[in-house]
Amino acid sequence: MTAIDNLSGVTTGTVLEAAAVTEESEFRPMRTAEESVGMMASAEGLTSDFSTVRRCGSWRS
Amino acid sequence: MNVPPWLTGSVPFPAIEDWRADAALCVRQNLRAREMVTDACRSVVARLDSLPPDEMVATLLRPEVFAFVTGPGGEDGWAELQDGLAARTTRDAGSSLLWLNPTGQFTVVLRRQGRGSRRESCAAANFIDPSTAQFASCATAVESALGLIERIAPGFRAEIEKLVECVVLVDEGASFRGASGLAFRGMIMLSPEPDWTTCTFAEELVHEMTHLLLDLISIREPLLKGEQAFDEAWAAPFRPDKRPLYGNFHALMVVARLIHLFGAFERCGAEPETSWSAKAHDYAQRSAEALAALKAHGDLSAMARRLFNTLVEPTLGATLAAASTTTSSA
Repeated sequence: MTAIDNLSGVTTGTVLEAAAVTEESEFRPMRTAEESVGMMASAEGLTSDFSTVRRCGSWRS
Repeated sequence: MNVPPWLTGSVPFPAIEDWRADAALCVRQNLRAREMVTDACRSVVARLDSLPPDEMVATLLRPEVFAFVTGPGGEDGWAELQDGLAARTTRDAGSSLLWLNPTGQFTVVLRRQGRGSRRESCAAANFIDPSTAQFASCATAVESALGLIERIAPGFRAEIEKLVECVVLVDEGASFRGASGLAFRGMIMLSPEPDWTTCTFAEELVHEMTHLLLDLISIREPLLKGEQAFDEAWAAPFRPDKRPLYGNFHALMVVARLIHLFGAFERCGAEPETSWSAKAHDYAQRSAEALAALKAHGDLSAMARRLFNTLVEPTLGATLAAASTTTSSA
């Protein structure tokens, strides 16, 4: 599956879209969904304690 | 302006399923690290472990689960989590995102909310009764807004589907127009005013959804580093009080995406009596001081730097430049 296949709604990529997709990997997390789900059954240590986001409380406009 | 289409609502943010699964992993490991001594604990964990992967991820990202993992926990918390998961298996309003009857724990969460753009606290706030005409009117408007977003910014609509678990409606006692947060991750609280239009609802949904996206990323990768990121010392785009750089990064991401949404409103002729370019200029100008401060003093993580360089600065810079050109030629 190509990067473009992963983006729902993209059927005929324009030049701009095609150029942008080549940069997609920069915006990926450390693991794929399959790897993350696979790790849920393991007993590995905490990957986050939510501390950064928790310190910000909530967003209120 | 050369901004990637996933940052403007044309297509969804990349690898959003990966981000969801990775955040769910963090939640799962947090649950695993907690002491499990009662039947309620074991029952919840056993139920989660029995779910198919997609459903497990979706369940772990529900606001009930985040209310637990960001709270004190304890035996009562596990029992509340067990009840919450059992009470609502899916969105309870059909295809709508609206949650008709939020459970009691979210009334507590609501009333803990502090200062917003309207008032100092939510001590007197309540969820709107779903049997009222006010609720019916707002529900229609939310559906119209979702339909509008689908037509003009399908990427934003796809993100809403992946990031927003539910929308709840709050009465005029709310301190805010819209709210979201990790303690109720996945939930958007809206407190509509009588003059809100379909476009206002769409703006508020995209605004809060952008916070949800950044919170999802932040669970794994902090956006700003250093203690100074949390100093409430900087002018903010929308709120009169001083805000931290961290909060202003969120605000600038919101503004940048809303500018693209306003462009889509203009192109499709939504509310032709509104000058969407003027509104975009207004938002960008309100953000100028926060943008300069973040650029000068923000210690951005690699992901935040990519977002800043790719979306925030080009979008706000181009909008401010356009405003300047309009002013000088007038």
